[in-house]
Amino acid sequence: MTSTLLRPHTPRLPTEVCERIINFVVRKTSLHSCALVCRSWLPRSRTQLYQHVDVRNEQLLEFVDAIASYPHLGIYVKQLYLLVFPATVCIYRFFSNVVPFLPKLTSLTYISLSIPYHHLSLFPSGFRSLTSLRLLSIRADSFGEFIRFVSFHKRLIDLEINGCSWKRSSDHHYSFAPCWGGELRKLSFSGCEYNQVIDLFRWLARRHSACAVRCLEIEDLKFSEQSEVPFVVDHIGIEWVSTLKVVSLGLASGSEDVDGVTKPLVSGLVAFIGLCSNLHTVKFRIRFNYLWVLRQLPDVLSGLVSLRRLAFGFHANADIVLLRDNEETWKFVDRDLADPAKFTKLEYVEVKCRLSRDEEVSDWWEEITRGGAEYGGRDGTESREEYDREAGERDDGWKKNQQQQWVRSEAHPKTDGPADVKFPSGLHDVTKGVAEFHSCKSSLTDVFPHLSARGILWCGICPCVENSCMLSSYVLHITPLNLKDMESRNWRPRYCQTLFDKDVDYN
Amino acid sequence: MVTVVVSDGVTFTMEQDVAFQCGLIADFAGGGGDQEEPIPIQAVNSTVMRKVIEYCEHHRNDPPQPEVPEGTPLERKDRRGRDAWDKQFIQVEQELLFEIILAANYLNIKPLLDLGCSQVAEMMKGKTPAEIQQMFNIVNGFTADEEAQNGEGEEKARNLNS
Repeated sequence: MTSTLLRPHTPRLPTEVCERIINFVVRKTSLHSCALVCRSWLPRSRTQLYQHVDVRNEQLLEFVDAIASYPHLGIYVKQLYLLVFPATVCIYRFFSNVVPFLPKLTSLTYISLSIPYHHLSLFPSGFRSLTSLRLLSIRADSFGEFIRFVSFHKRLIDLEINGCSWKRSSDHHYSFAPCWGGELRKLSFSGCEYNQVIDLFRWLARRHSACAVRCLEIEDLKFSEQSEVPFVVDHIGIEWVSTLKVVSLGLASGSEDVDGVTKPLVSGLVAFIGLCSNLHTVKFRIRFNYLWVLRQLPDVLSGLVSLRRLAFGFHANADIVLLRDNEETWKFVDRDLADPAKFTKLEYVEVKCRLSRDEEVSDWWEEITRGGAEYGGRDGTESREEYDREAGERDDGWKKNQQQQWVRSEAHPKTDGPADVKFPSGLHDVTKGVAEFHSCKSSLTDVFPHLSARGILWCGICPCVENSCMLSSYVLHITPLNLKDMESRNWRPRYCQTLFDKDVDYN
Repeated sequence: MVTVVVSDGVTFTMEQDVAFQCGLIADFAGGGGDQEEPIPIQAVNSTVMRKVIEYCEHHRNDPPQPEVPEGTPLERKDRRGRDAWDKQFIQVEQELLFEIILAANYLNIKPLLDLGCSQVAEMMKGKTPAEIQQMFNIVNGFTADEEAQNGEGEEKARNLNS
């Protein structure tokens, strides 16, 4: 037993508090030290150390050795990131010597792996607990090899395919892919080629009896000259899409215009959404001129009798202009979506704008402020007497509506210009800025009068600044229906985040 | 208003929204109106209670924080809720810091407990196991064999995780 010099005046902390402290230790070196402090600190330290393991290249051999020498460490591993480039035989040692000792591994990410691995079938007992698989920049000889590799992870619930590639051929080997457990619930694509998505769809169509995907996310879809036109509904099959509840579609990152090749493909994808008869949530994130997409939306969505939530996300300054200058299109969408005969269950519509760079912020605020003025929303200069006099001549519904606007204007008096909005110097300013946005954003409630009348409009705004400041952590969310409530709670951005982060139930 | 009396006999009177940030006091008061009898807080002295009240008064209008689930990335957990005022508030001597943590634990004030814990975690950066033992007033309970074995294992794993 090692003796140590104690500090007599330091109070002793109970074990549960020490464990809480260990939860806050970030550095691995500090966690290793914690593990050696005393017996009661060991389990929590190891849990923190090994629950997320990031193995890169030559570290794989060390990881394999560490687990082989101390297999009891394997029970702490819950999430594993595996970057192995170039491919190494060590990966087989990983499958044979390590995987059996990771009984609690639930999430695995492969990065830059090259497939095929022909001998995976030798390790049939692998990954019993694995439910979430992310494949980043995986290269495969063929789709058949790719899907064989995926299928090796038998109990997947959540599959993400990000920037992967495989060679296409006439024979896609759809049929011989090994049996999947059939538990897949969420399928995400990001940065994939259109044709690759089609490959997966076709494969799912063959296996529709075994799969029951509830959530489909497609982000940053890439198009090319070789993309198949049109979107081939007859080939993807519609049986498996009947289980979908949530579809999220993000299109054309970096593409400002829609050319002749892309347009029918996008139309096909939007039409595809209309085939998913049991959807309750649809999200669009679009970066190009989307008006023609909007115009076809009501027709596409009209068959979705279960639709409850609909979200539009746009990017940056140009979209604000589009939002403002194309009021008629929005009114068209508003009128159709608000039709209670078509969308009986619709309860939530979100319009969200997103910034991509810091330097855009000031321009953007200027745009918004100017937009508000042009729409003639209440600007906070009106006196209470003027308000009362006008209210006395109107009906109760109007009074209630105007009362709310008046209260908001009073709480956040409109300033003369964007110069007063010090954004993004601090979260308080963001709060003020969003309130500012709202006070002049009678424009949006004007644009959605029918949805507002049904009480289902939510207007959101997300000043998300990528990769840099704290703002990216906060999603600010406001609604005409609950702003007053927020104010009464001394509304802060963090609270708004919790409102927005309501989990979408896709089961 | 809510009145409490602490271990050294000092009495503190607080407004209800300040006092009810302490889960223990809220439970004690049963969520009702003004308390006539002072609530005894025997595990906390007046110096620490003053700091606790200072914290609760500053955060009286905070919305309720969602519980951070197990397995949340550490960076997010650590960053959560620490603004400039909090950082300044928690810059105290280690002995007082530990007493604040104990008080927050006893009084059931989770945000303050987390603030204190994250500050201690910050102070542990770069410390050896022996230094941490000294800091926490802990006697190493490992046998020599265990210590050697753990040391070897951690050394091996250190290369992997660093």
